[in-house]
Amino acid sequence: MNTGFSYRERNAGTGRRRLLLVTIFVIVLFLVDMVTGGSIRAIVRDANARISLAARAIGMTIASNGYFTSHAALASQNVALQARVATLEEQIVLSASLQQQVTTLSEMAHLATTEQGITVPVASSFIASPYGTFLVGAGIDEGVSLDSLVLSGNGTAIGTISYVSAHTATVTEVFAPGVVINALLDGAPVSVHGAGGGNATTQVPHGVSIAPGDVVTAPSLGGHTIGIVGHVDTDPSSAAMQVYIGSPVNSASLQYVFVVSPRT
Amino acid sequence: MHRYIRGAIAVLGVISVFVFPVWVGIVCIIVLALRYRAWEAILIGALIDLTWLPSAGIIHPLPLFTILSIIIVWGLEPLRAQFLLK
Repeated sequence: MNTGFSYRERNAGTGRRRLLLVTIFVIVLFLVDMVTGGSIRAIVRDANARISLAARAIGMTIASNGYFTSHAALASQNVALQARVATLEEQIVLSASLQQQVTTLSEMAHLATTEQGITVPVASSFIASPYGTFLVGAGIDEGVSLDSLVLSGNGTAIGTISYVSAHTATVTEVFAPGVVINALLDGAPVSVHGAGGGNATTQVPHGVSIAPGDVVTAPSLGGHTIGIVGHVDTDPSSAAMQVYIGSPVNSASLQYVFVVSPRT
Repeated sequence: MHRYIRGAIAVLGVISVFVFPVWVGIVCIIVLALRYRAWEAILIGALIDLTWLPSAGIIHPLPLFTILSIIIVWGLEPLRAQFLLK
């Protein structure tokens, strides 16, 4: 008679038990991870980096073999001509892509003449992290060490290595949420508060000459540029001017970064 | 049908950890926790932290998304029990 009711109750109990078990499992997982210095997260991040790099390679292969453009050409009346045009366009795109990589690597090579370090590939999405971090595809085995400075191709500081495993490293961006960094803005020392997404804010007293486009540098990061003033809020009713700073680096376009080796 | 929907949301949540902005993962956690006793929601939260936490400290930084997902999943238990599961 009460089959439906008893089934639901039993099912609810099973669901709650499963939930409890998973909760305990996750807590134990984190404890093990913390005690072992991040062994669990190293596995997760290695997998993420491998998948991201493989996905990028697959994307480039698809772009270069013309699979999608061939389909577009089949739909048209002039198959042969359109396929040829598509092929040429692909070659242009591929050439542009390779040119971009060559340019980036050339910049890195130039950087390597002034700084000692290694060029490493970016191995994760920039938008996915809620903590303002991203992964690079090199770790301890490749010579990356903790607290190393990470630069873009043109020498802008974009972060520091905050965690490193055998073959991957985690970079915490200069403007990650909650990060406070001492910087120089037009010669004036300021505390820059990271807001994530390549943005930060700081406050300077009225009277200091600040304008959009001014460069922000960080002595603690080797004096490298960390941002550019985007907007200055000069509300006379507040005690200080609110300065909005943005990173000059377009994170989404970064394929390689330069990890500076600590000076010995 | 419900199993497929639940599975699809969970898979989207896991993929979002690596590819999409974090709010996608949070939406998946909330939707799963609202409708199901979803242990997957806790795993998504843990995966976010294991993948993106800056360092491996004991106390700092706190695995916020794991804590958040546990709170959401267990906090919504009375609501689910009252309105959805029975």
